[in-house]
Amino acid sequence: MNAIQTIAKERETINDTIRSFFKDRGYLEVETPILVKSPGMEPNLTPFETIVREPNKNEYRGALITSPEYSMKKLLGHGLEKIFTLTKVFRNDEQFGGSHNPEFTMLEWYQQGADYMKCIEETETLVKMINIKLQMTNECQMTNFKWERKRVRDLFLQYVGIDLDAADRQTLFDSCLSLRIHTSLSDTESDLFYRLFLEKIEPNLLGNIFVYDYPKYQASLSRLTSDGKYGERFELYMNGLELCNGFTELIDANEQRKRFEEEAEERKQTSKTVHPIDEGLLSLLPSLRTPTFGNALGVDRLHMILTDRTKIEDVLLFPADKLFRDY
Amino acid sequence: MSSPNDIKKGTVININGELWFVTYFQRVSPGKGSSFVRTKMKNIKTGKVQETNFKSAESLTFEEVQYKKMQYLFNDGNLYTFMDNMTYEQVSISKADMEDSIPYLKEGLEANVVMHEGQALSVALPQKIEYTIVYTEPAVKGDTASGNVLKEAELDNGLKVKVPSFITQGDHVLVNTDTGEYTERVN
Repeated sequence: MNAIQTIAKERETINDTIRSFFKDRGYLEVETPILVKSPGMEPNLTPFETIVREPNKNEYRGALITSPEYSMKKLLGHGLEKIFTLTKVFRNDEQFGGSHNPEFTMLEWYQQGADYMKCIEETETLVKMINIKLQMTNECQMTNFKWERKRVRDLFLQYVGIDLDAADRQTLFDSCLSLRIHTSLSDTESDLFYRLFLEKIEPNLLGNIFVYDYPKYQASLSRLTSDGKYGERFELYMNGLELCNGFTELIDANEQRKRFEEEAEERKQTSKTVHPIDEGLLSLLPSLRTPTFGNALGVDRLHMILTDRTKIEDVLLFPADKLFRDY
Repeated sequence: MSSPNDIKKGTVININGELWFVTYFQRVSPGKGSSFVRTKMKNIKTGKVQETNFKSAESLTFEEVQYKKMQYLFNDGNLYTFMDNMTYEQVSISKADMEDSIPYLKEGLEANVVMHEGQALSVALPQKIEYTIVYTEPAVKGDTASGNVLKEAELDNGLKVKVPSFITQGDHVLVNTDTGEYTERVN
């Protein structure tokens, strides 16, 4: 087999395994729209924008999704209990290659009546199963499969030497200062947290590590932990690469609206397009049960890691670099 | 004022009067919160190398630098000399200032020398450079069965890279200077 044949075959194995994993567990596979009116509102993402026209010349502003999250949550609101989707998502202003590509494949799944710990279990089982299937069919190299789970608070105690239970903006700022980490006057608590995380913690996230319970300001749409200090959010890092982002979802339409408005304001200030708030989502959100978990996992990155490749373009049949650049 | 999103390899940033030359950058977007640009920078005066993460929303001051197309001539120990083919002006850059680029140099290579106030700071190589394969083993039959089989090859400047098994001695290939990897065969 040549390289293209190998990649195509591996990806088929991954997608087949994902589908059988979720179907065996009673999940329903759903299709969600890629072209929508309200794409993701996150301040640091730039969706691809377009105009949708009808033959009668009616025109609508549209965009490609940065994640299927809104549509998935609407389906939960309509009473679907366990759903998953494998879809293409799009983000403009991304680097070509490395760990990014403007178009990539995302797996999202949601379950009502279960929280993020159940989701961590499922994620671990899923990744292990895909790894086994890849080895059986393609003789891929075995990845080191020691799994760990670490609270953000414990990582900060270990690598930064501060206790997040008691840390405020000043503590984080002082910590950056004493560790000679660059800061900016405009830094929020969340920015300072992330500067410390990037420099002192991320380089230590080798192996397969679930990092969980993020400070509230880093997990605004997740349910709070029982002590009220952290959000029930987790990420999986495999060999230092961020693979997924999951939550016990916060099901509060008022809080979600407030967050959308804040994000819209942030987008306005950074001269980004402010997309309309998805009212359909807000009206369905209260119908979700508590708890509900959701997780978004980058399939291309997973493919990279499990086949021991270091660049996303090595697992794509049509990487952006080849599609758009001329040499 | 400029945005960290505009940082490229070779950008010179003025931080409190000190000039820093960017040798590496990568954008990072956390799941929540602001996005950042991770950089590796070198202090132009002291040569100190430092990793710094800038928040995308920060304002930075970039220094104007000029890129001069020059031809690589030779190296004598610690210094690498380039020449402007129009004016015959020559500049030398120290080994430490172009560490990453050294393996890719070959006589006559055209590259952009980064100039600031008359001083040559470093060199920005083309993203892909063409080389000739001077040595590689012939492909072993059956090796192609398991897919992406690579073998070692030596290029006309002495650099060794991994190439696919169909490449033979005398072939012209492009090598990516960011990653040091073979990208394609040129006909």
